[in-house]
Parts: sequence; C-alpha cells; structure tokens
Amino acid sequence: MPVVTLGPAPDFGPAARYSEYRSWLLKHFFDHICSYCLIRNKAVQVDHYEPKVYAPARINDPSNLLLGCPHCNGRACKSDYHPLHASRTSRRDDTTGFSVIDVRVDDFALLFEVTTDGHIRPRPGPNKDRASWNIALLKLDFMDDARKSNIKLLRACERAMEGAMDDNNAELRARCEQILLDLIPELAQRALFFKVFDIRVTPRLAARINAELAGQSLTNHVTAASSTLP
Amino acid sequence: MACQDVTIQSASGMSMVAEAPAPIAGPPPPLIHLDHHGDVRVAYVDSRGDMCVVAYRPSFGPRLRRVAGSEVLPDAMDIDVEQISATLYSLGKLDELTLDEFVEKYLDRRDELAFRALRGEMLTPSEAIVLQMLNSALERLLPKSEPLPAHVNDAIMEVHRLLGD
Repeated sequence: MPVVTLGPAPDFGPAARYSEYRSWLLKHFFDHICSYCLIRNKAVQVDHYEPKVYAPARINDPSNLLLGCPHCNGRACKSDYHPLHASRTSRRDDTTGFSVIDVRVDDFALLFEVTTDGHIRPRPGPNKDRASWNIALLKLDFMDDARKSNIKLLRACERAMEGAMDDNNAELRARCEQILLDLIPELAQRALFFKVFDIRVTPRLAARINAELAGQSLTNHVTAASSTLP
Repeated sequence: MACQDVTIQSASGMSMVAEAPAPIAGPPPPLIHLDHHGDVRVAYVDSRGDMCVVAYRPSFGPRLRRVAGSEVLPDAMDIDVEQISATLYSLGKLDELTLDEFVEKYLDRRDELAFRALRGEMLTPSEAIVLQMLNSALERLLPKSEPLPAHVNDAIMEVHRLLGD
C-alpha cells in the first residue's frame, strides 16, 4: 500500500500555475522532503512527474506535481525521463520499460530495503528489477550518508526516550526529556522517510512524533510499530 | 572468464575495490594504478608466485617492466589486462568532466552497468572497474545532500554520552 495520499488539490482556478501548488505539496511532504529519495532538502523543487516536454497539457495539473530535490530531479537522475513510457530525450536506448517510482502509487517497502547504515538495495522478489533500475536511474545508492543520518537521529531519539523512562535517575530523565524536546521536531520533519521505507519506530516515540506532526498540522502520520528499528 | 575483485588506485592515491565476485582460490587480486601520465600499471602475482608489474600506454603498445621474479606476461591471470588498461586510460580524463559532459558521454553506460550489478548480474572485472570509475566521477558531480544540522548532531552525541553508548 502506498503511504502518501495527497488529498484534493486546492482550487486556484483554471488559470493556476504549477508554482501555486508548492505550499500544498510542502504540507503533504512534511515540509521539504523529496518525493523520490525521501531525504529532506530545503531546495526541493516542484517536479513534473510527467516532464513538461512530454506532457505540455499537464504542466499545471496538480496530479502531475511532486516535490523533487536537486539530486533526484537533476540531469543525471530523473530529469526529463518519461516515467511511464521509458523514454527520454537524452536516453533513447533504454528499452526496459520500467516506470519511475511514484510515492503516491508505489509501496516503497515492497521495492527497497534500507539497512541500518543507510544502504539501499532492491528487495528480492517480483519487483527486484524495477527497484534496481530505479536505484540506478535516480542514483539512490549515492545517498547512503543521508539515510544513515536519518536513522542515526531516530535511534538517538529512541535511546533518549529509554533514558527518559528511567525512574531511578531523575536528573538523567530530565536531561533526556530536554534532548527529546530538541530532537523530536527534527525527527518529525523526516518522519515520511521512516514511514515510506517502513523503518519501525517504537510505539512511545511514534506517539510523540505524531503529536508533534499534529501540532504542525502536517498530514501523513507515522505508523506506530510493535517492534523497534530492524 | 572467471571474476575476481580488483583493487584500483587512482593517480591521487585513492584506492577502490570493485565489487566483483570473489575468487574461489588463486593469486591475490592485481593492483591497477592509473598514474598522472595516463599510464596504467598493473601489479600482479604470476603463476610462479613472483611479483610483476605491467606498464601500459595504449598509443605505444604494451611494455613489460620487471620488478622481481619472472618476466612472464600475465597469461595466468583471469582478467583481460589490456582491456582494463585501455578502459582506464580512456577514463583517465574523468577528473576534467562537467556534469553535462558526464551525462552526454557516460550516463547511459553507468546506469546500464549499475542496473545490471544491482539486479545481481555478474559483471566482468573490467565492467566492474568501469562502473567503479564512473561512480567515483559521478559522485563528485552530483548535488550533495544536506547534512544534519550541527545542533542535531550535538544532541545525538549528548544522548550517546549520557546513556553510555
């Protein structure tokens, strides 16, 4: 099941330009998360899933809009690759026919595995070739450090939560709670990454993250898991 | 052609190990060095256990330079030294590429090799080296991800310090 539901687009009228949907996308993508690599990037751009060159009629169609970071949306990655017809102005020899991942449609957890050190690999199974092709196209294997940082942040929050629950040391508890106050907003901004890649969050921490997200009126809550980070 | 891991050393001294299936048995993998003249030097252990170095410049043809032991050409090796050398030589100018040039000249090749490797296909040693070289060049050209903010890193370290990790 895909985990991102954008909901109805705001009605800006028939003359609306795609740039007007940016704030709507930012809200649904947790404020600056790339739709492809799920890494937070302040420089995310409005991306046309079907590139403008192939689908001029959909330039301002909100159902064709996602957010892409300069890495994934850049020349060496998705760029003007047609996500549905496997064609590209600069890459005509690709006959695989695979489509580019779409976070609104695809369940990334069925396509990819992310290890605790941030390495991404195709999940064995019927989708393996498409997953491999997308990793190669989008250069997702060049972003291990960013994924590792996110996971490091999550684990630190889990540890702080454990420390905050230690009844025997009030000073430690207070310090951990203070750190959580600092870290949870940062974690909440990256929550979509954990949700999309199905990286499990302890229930107590998930509840805190979701409370933070609710406070910011962001959609797409993190799902509490019964187990910890694999 | 059997496959083996190959260690590459660039002119800057950086070493990389191409991901290729490990040999079941046999001599240590050859060390391939691309020097600042664009010459390729392959150090290897020959079938008699002697250390040899082949220096190769494609435009002049291969020449052999003895370091120790025999002067036997690397006929016992499982890799195509000349093919690797020629590839390395042609890629020796990667340092000067812009991202646009990389996209025009090498992107299709890189993506095709990366796709095959990711899906579990066995690359030949020379293909594995080419992929490693192209990845190395591309990594420097791609936009970088933003690191965690400094205060977040500090807080993470504080957690580990407090809880004795």
